[in-house]
Amino acid sequence: MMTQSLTAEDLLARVAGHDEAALGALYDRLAPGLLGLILRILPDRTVAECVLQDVFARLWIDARRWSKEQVSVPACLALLARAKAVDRLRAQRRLASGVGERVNLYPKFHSWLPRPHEIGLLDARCELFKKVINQLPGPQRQALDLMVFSGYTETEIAEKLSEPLAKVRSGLLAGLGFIRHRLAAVMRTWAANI
Amino acid sequence: MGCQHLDEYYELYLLGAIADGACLDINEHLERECPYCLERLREAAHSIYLLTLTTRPARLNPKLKLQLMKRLRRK
Repeated sequence: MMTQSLTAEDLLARVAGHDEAALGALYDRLAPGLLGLILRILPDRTVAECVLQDVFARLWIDARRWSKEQVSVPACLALLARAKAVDRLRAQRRLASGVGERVNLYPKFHSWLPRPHEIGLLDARCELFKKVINQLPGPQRQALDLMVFSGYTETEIAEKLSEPLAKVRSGLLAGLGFIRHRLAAVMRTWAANI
Repeated sequence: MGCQHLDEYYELYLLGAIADGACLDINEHLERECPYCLERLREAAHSIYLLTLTTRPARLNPKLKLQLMKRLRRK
């Protein structure tokens, strides 16, 4: 059967039954975006490709559970890919410096993950969302970048920027609050000034 | 205890960027399926998901898919 017309969640249900063609179709659809994300965190391509394989291996193992939980496959894999890449990056840092915080990067409960019907809307608003990110003041964007794509905790960001933790924390919270507020507007509009 | 003191931390929690104290509080609320925390966490996940979409897709090495399939058959 042709897989192009199936949704990611239809494919997930098939992967739960260990359908290799369905996994291959999900890979073709989602792997380029996931590898782009992983490479932003881990620029070494060999390491990034290894993490990408781990993400799909996890999908193969957990597909039955994820299918039952009715999670959005693109969201689940994107957050998992980021978590695995950051985990690897932090491990590299710990190895190099002997220091670094261990934190839980991927909560075991999944009921908070976006639902499949929400993802189409989020994907469609991606370009508007990028405008929102560009509206953030430079220092807030820098701190957010360090947190999202370099995997630093707020304490580590404060050390890296030689700023007091309270200042870094308030900047991060203000930036995330701004994003949250604007996201609500982004979700309600197609092209209005945000 | 209510959830308002956690209000600003859900995004940081999902990004693995906060200290253990706030993490433990959120974990505890999630374990008892606190509807407020779940809703806020879902909103936070929307933001984080969109942040992950701000990167450019990468070109894939075709060999990678074959290696993945081989690996999965061994599992």
